[in-house]
Amino acid sequence: MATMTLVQAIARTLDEEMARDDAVVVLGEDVGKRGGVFLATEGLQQKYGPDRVIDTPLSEAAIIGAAVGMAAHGLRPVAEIQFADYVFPGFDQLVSQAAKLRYRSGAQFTAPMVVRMPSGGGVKGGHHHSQSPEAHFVHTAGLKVVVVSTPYDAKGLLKTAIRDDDPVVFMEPKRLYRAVKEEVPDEDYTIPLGQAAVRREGDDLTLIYYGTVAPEVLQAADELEKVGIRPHVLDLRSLMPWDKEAVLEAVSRTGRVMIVADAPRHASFASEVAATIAEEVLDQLEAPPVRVTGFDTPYPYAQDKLYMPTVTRILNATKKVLDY
Amino acid sequence: MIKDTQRFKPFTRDPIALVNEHGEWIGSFDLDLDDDQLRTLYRDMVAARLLDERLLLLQRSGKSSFAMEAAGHEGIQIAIAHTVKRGFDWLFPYYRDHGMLLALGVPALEIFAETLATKADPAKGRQMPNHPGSKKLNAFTVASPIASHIPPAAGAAISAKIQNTGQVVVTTFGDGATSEGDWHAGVNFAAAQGAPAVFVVENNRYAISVDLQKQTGSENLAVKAKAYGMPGYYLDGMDVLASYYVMQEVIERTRVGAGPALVEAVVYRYGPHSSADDDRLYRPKEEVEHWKQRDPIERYRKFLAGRSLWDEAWEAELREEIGTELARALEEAEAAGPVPEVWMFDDVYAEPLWPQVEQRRLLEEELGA
Amino acid sequence: MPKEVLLPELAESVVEGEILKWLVEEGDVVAKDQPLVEVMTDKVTVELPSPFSGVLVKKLVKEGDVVPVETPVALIEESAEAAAAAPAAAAAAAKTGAEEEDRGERLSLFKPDKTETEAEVKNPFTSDSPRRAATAAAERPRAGVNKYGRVLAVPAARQLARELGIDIAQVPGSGPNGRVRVEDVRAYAKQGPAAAPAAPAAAAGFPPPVPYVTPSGNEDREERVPLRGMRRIIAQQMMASHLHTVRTLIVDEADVTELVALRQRLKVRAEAAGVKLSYVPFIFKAAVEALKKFPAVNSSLDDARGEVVYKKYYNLGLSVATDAGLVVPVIRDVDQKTILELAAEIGDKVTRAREGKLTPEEVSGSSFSVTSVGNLGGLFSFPIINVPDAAILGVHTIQKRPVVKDDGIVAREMLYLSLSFDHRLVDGAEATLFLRVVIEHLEDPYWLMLHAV
Repeated sequence: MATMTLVQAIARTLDEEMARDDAVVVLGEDVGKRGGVFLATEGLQQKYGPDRVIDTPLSEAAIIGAAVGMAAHGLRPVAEIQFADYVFPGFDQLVSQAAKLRYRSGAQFTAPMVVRMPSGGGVKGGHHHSQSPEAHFVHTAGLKVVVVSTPYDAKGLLKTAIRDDDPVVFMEPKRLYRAVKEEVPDEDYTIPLGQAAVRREGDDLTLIYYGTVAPEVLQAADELEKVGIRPHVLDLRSLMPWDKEAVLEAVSRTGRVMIVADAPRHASFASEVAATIAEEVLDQLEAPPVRVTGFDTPYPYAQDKLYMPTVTRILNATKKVLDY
Repeated sequence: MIKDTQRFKPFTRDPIALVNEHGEWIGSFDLDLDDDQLRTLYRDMVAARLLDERLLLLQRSGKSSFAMEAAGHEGIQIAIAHTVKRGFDWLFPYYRDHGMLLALGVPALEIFAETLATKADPAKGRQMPNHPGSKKLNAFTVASPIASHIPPAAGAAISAKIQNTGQVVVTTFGDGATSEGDWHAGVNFAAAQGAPAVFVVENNRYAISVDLQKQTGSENLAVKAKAYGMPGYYLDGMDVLASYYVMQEVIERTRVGAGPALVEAVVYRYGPHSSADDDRLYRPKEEVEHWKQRDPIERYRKFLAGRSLWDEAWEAELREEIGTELARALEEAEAAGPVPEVWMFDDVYAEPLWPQVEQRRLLEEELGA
Repeated sequence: MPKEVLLPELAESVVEGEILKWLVEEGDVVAKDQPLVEVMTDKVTVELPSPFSGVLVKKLVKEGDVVPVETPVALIEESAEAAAAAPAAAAAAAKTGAEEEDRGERLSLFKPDKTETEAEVKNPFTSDSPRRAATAAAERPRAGVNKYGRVLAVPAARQLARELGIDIAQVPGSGPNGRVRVEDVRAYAKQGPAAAPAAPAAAAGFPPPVPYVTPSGNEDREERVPLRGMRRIIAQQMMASHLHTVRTLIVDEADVTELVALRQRLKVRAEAAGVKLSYVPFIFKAAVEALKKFPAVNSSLDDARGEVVYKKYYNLGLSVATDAGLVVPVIRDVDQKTILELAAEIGDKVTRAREGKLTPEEVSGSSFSVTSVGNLGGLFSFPIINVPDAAILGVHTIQKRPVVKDDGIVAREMLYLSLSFDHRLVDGAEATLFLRVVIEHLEDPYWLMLHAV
């Protein structure tokens, strides 16, 4: 057991996986010599050499596209996109090449690869250092999508992602990189995709979340418990596949549900969850499924703190849901 | 093994040719291919042309939805098929390379099955016509977005380098592809890594209707290689022997560590961009006719005839044989039958996730299964 | 645990600095930002401010040393005042290696906001606010409806109502606009009988009810019992029926001598079969024959949609006097049951009505009702219609009376039948003829048998 932050868990996991399997390689901008702009790949190039930890040119299309080729050719690349906001130049490689390779070739060619990216706001990063674009990836069949929020989850899920034979988009809320520290077991363990984590048990309502908003949701849960309201809190962790069973079960248990995430509201992943709940367990609902999300604006600099679901916003929404 | 001196130089003013329009050898070295090899090249060019015609017929007769003619490209395509190490080197082709893949060894059955989306398609009918691929021959399945296969080609080459396999990656694409960001991304990355990749432009001067002058300000495409620190060969892609020898040299130099290279093979596309295109809208009939006079197959035929390696009888025999083969392959492809509807839900992932499982059930219900 | 003070990058591309002069001594208390030491570089000479408040525990470098950027130059034991703003994090754990953390922070692009997530959480919940806004008495006595007449109710309430066989439109909704919540359905189910539409607020011009005032001096000669439960609901239902129907009475009489004889004969045998045979099942059957002929008497008025609802089912309610008041169990599909079956069911329901053991669905859904207080007295009556039915048949004592028959006077078993009907739905002639058909069937039991299932 060792106590570590989320980003340290990432670095540790990459090290372990590269030691375990020679096919695992890391590539991205600044990942080698500098160890990554968030130090997520610190020490790896020194240990494994420039052939396995590659400093790439400044081109997300090259990074992601090359990862596809490497993966098809027999390696297990873990590509880093420096900020999720910069995935867009490489979006076609993800959507047209990575996501569809197995399908279009009838499984003759596959792309076992991971594309990691720091995501989410709360770092005074403005438009292009704060986005959470997971909806685009969930919307693309052929990609798997993970959004972690704790060091323990980061290790277990990154291992699973690396060992998965399909392309996995692995999002790491940069705001949580160093904010959370916890004990992470030394041994090798994996967390399966599509499995939510129950953070708190309760009967009064269900709070579903993932990623960046973890601190706000948990703080809101604390506030609720102070007044005798006991929320059931689910961290989805995995968005494709996602733990529909756990969600529907929680709704059956509590009859009221909110989905909290920092991505913009329209066509968000939260919307998918809400629609599924309405479609499949309508009769359990005592209130509409409510989404608490970021706003439909580009991510602002000055109002950075207010863009994301605040504790107040979560509590106000909770009150509406409980009073319905 | 690198020869002590390169035979061919990059960045020539004129495209490299070894056989002139009259079929005469104009190379400065001795031809070292034997008769069989020479005739095989011709056979493969004819096969490519006949396949092309057959695919067009399928579309015209309503059996297939789409066709893209490659007539005019045979020189460079056949040359590549003969200069890579089959089943060892990797290819990243584009949608006009069916002739190349046939010559490489991809069964005509598979090409027809892909076109008609029948069960004999190893890709299970997933894509529209002109999107072949072959695991066996390491030909990366074609994807529509132009130049999107270039970064993966670079990646595969980097992987080969890291693992020291000795493989070379040859990727082909059209002139239009050189404008895409992905092209630059892939070429640049391969060059920065010194990866064993050969980038071959099958430059037929038209990206659908947009001619080369509107595609680039460069004097030709080969010169672009200079910016990336790699050699760019300017080649007459309608000269199969020139294509053969240049590709052979470039591939082998790359294989032993000279780094990536670009080859611009100048060709002409006799047909329109596709069966959905009308080329009369953007180029004069006379131009097409002019280039038909320079048919790569005819030029090479003259060369072979000049060496008594070709005659009418052999031509007829060849066409008969290939024609029959293709007909049989087509029949077999058709007989395999349509792909089952529910195969739609396989291969999205290694194992279907619950959305595919649920949605498959929905479709089965709809179909009354 | 003392914290390290590092030599920062004082200017762009500066890689080292020379320690010129210490400005504090080991053991000194230093405040945050207080200058600690003078440092010279090729670009700049500065005083290094202390990053923390506390005590300077140790100087790690001496004057004249040339040290690279990022080198620790001093150790400071931080005091309480120096607490950095805690990041808004949920997990708490011991902090290890301050140096490691700082380096990571410093070398990272875009550090998270260290200030609190929110300047002040505005919490809508206070510790004394109940778990849910207090469920006041229903805004309206019935479920709210939208402009299309659709009931406003949450899905779980609808589902519960379905399961309990409750018509959700009848459930008073405590939510905004009369929205029905789950607890409303539960509360409604507990009450028992179907809630009738309550009287709306007095319309303009309509005189209000006369308020009751105790005559002075009689205050302690009165016992006041809160109007609750069944009595309250009955009062509401009676008022609603009275106000919202055009109640009209027609009375007729039936010579049931034959029926009496028949029942006498069959009574014992029925009892042996475990069934108490009263006149009610016969009356039910006769009524059904008449209802079939006069569908208006088996109808209801749907005010909200402006439609007369003609029912193709014959569910008959039977008023039962219980200790708690009047209860109306409903026998469904009377037309499809034999008289014996009806007798058995009636017996069961009457018993359970008196025990207060009926379910909500057993006291709802009637299309016509019969009321009988016959054995207690009275000739005929003007019963209150069991809204939303169109009519109710009052049945009284069977009495031997002298009547004229074939021009002679004979003693016959006679029965008065009082039909209260809603004149909006049923015409006078219809009502009269309806009653006649009932009487025909009661006067000639054999004729009744021919129609019985």
